[in-house]
Amino acid sequence: MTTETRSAPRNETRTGFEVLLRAGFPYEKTLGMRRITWYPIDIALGKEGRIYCLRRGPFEVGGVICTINWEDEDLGQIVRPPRPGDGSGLEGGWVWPVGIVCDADERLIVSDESEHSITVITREGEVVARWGEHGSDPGQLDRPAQMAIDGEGRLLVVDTMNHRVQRFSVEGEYIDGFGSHGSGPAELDMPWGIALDAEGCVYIGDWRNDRVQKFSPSGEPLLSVGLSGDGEGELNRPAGVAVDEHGDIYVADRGNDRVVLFDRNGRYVERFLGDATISKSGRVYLMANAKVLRLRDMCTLEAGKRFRAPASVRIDSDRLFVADFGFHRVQVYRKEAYPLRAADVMAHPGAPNLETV
Amino acid sequence: MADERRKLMAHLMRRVGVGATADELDELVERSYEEFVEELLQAEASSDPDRDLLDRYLPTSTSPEVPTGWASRWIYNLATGRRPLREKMALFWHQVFATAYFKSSHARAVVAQIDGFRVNGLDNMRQILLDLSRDPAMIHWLDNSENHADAVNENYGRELLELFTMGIGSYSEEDIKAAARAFTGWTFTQPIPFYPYSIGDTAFTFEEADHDTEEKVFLGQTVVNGEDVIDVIVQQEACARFIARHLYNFFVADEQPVPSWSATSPRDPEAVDVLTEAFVESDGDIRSVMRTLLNSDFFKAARFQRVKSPVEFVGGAIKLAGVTPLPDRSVARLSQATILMGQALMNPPSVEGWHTGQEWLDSGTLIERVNFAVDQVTDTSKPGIASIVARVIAAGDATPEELIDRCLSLCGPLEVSEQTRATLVARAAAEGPLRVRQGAIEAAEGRIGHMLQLIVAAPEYQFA
Repeated sequence: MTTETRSAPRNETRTGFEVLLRAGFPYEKTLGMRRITWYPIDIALGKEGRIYCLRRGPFEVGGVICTINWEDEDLGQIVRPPRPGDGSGLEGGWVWPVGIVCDADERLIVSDESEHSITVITREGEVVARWGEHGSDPGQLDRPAQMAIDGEGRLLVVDTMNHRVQRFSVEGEYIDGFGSHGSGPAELDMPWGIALDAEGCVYIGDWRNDRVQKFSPSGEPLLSVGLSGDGEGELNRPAGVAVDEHGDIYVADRGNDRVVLFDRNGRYVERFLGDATISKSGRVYLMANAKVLRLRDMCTLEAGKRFRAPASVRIDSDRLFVADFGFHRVQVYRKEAYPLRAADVMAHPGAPNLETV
Repeated sequence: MADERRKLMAHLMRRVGVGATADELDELVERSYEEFVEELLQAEASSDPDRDLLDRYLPTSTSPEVPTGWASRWIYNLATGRRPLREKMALFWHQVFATAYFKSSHARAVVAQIDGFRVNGLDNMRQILLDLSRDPAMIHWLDNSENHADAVNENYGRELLELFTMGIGSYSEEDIKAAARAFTGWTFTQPIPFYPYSIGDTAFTFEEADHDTEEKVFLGQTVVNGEDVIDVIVQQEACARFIARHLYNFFVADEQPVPSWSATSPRDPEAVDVLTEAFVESDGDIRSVMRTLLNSDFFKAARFQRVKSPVEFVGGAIKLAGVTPLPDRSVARLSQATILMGQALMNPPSVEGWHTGQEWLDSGTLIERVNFAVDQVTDTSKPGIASIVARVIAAGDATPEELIDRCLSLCGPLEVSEQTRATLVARAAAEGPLRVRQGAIEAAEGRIGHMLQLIVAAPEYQFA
């Protein structure tokens, strides 16, 4: 996978811009297929174009990491099946895996919301550490969900049922945390997703409050976006969240089967409904299956392009990766935007204006 | 009197749901029976507010490709939902209009059918049959998509009359042919196939060019299309009587297996007469028939006259043990438990559905049932069991007889034979009276937990 940016740098700084000229955000590619990227609940983007899809299912317990690349090649799986009665030792399997991130050494870190555990493994699947103690005290976990790694290599874990975010070392040493239960400003209700921006600010998918909240690195509330619903700028049980170099906020609006984009100020920009085409692996399958080819020719295909319960969004430079959970694939979009300086644009008029020429 | 009232409310909740906890019964005994029945009948069909929790923690069941995860959700909803009769009516119609996943491998269509029963399960029989006849899962299951104007397939027409509405003996072969011709052209849109991504949804569609538009004679009346056939069916007393007997079998007391109905009299002919009359008088309104049934003396007197189906058994056991509002991984295993007991939801063995009553029980399924129930009550930290233990202890020291009676009362109340009671009392007496003084609480909790295990292993616990 190439990772060069298409955003023409008309400005020296990407965060200090005045206005973002949004040239487009076209769909680019579909990766994976059923049985390969089955029920992807989260994605981690590794080095050399490796894409780690954390699979939840296909049954009600268990999970697998499937590695693919930009060419849609299946690079193998890491399987850790749950074992009845296993403890919390290094041999414990995944029951309800939900989040995955890569650290700087491309170790994979997986959270399990049934076992209240975090597993650290090499990309070959060797277990490095498994930690996590069920509870509500500082450092304990109750249904951990998505995670993020900050600029200092520390692991931020969304601690869903404690309605907070906690910071740990990757090895599991507790550092600090913030968040409390509720629906008021700065409060959280069963959060799921997390993302960090370049300044270390923390964006939380505040799942049961149908919003995304932005906090400073120390946990001060900075911004809240989203209201309950299915209209513009509204969210229905948002899952994963991501933020890009322009401060744009992406939300896997799972209950509405879409991804929603807000700008750095929380203004609704647009939504993505899904535009899937047939992936390379999918084409190989189709060309060898006469029955499926015939049946596809008999049906309308539009619904098959759309997202179904997307669970996670991840950013790699100007690319947006969406874990299209219900359709067992990853859809990729590519942003084309140009940051502009204050000198390039009119001063903000303070009100909408019908005189647009 | 108060005890009888509690038993009656518990009976009602076993039939319209999977039972009630002692705390729920405390509230229900304060309410008017008839008003509560009306509330159950009028409950909206909308989904429960905690549906999002199931979507989150059983995510594959939200995009189902196999029925097991969704079946687990359904059982969980039966035990936790606020509209138990809606769920129970869906289970009833699933038993009557048995449609299986194994033929189509299209779980979304099968799930959509059950969702339809949740919505229309108490509606007029016409609407229920119309929705059924337009249901893609049913159309595929009984080959109506292969029923063409120039090549009639009689499968749906035959089963509609034989197994779904009237039973053998109420129609002729010519009526089957006429019904089948009336449903020609009733088919569904082609869904996107499973591979390479996932199955798409499907919907009913009427192919007019493939429909036999000629007039037909069906049960002595002139009909053209499927709607006409349904109208004529619902007018038949045979339909009223057939559905009445199904409702009696499911909600009141075990009947003979359906295939033998044409040769055997109902267990309680007068009760079936009453339900038949309610059907006829209401022009096939199922809510009216259920109102008559639930308020009838024969229903109120029919305590423990049905063997619990596996779904009722599992749902009832987890309700007794106490279900936390947050689904955990044990929820995912509920459908597997019922499969081991002989009931794979959305995968009935055939279009006849499951054979019920005593046929649920054999040496293998009985062991599965007992083991499951004992497992549920073994953990005294579970909220339902902890509540029972606390209530027994709060009532103070107890003789072995008092200990057993308290436990039986809190497990239902469960009514047992003298022989069962004597066995339980003898077991309790082996450890003497129950002492709940400080320092003896832990031992008391252990004894009560053990008694609960014995109670759910008793023969009477198999009945609803």
